[in-house]
Amino acid sequence: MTKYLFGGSFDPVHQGHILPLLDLQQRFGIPCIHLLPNRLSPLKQAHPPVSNAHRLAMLELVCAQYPSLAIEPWELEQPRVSYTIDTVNHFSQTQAVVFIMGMDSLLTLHHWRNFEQIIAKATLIVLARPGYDFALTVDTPAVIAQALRPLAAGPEQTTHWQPGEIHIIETPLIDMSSSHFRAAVQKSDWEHKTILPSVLNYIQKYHLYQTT
Amino acid sequence: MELSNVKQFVIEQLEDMKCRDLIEIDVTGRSTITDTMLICSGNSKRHVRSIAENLVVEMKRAGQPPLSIEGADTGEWVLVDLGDIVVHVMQDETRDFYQLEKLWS
Repeated sequence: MTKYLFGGSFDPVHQGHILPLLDLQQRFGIPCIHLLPNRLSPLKQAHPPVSNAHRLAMLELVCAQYPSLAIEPWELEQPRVSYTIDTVNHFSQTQAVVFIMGMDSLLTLHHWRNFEQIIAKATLIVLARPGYDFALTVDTPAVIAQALRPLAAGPEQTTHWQPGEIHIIETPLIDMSSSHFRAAVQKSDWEHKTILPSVLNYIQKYHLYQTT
Repeated sequence: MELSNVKQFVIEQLEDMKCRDLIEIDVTGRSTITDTMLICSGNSKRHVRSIAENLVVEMKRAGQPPLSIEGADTGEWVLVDLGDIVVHVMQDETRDFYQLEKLWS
């Protein structure tokens, strides 16, 4: 069974995370994608920090709404901040791993720890907005350039994801980010169609992301 | 066939099918999977597919079947892996998007 992982800080989770995943699942017949919340360093957060427990609770509300999504809490359970390669190593011992990321992550992938190993052990799906200017440069390491592959199969068939391959898939992305949301909340602007109502209620109930 | 002959043979097959803008990039020592990349364009899904399919058939006939073929079903970008040579047949839109030439130049 293939493990599909989508990592992120989910701080908070919003529809810009979710809708492209649902689109991907529909087109490629992917039964379940695991949302993989990253540990956040409290020092790096530019807003009142929100605990892991709160971020998980908000993800649970999302998964309750979308049964094809699940949570993979592995990184949060580790004693310290883990790198993607650690996560890929852990899961690829027992199953095929497909790691889903945004184009912005691909463009910085060569700065990730042991990125060659990540590519070797997992299939990468890169979500790109239609019309996105794919801006890999001449500095892009050969390991990344040579891994770029056309898709082996269309949505009707079972797609065989091969480790060592990077597939760029155009999917409608929503212009939304967690930082936009946090900035708006600071100004007491609660009009957010891109945050699930249950998540928005949760944020209001626990006074998250608001200046104290 | 020796590598230089194989390359010439491959180029002839691509040109027989009226591919456009064929370029050759030597990636020896840079890529860990191949030495030469050939990139060319086809005008449509069908054209891209037939360029690639013809190459596959002729390579089999010549006793050097490809290691793998990817993307033949969508016909936007078909990759034919011949080991020492990797052939990319692409529609213009896909070729403009990935700009593989630039990545390897």
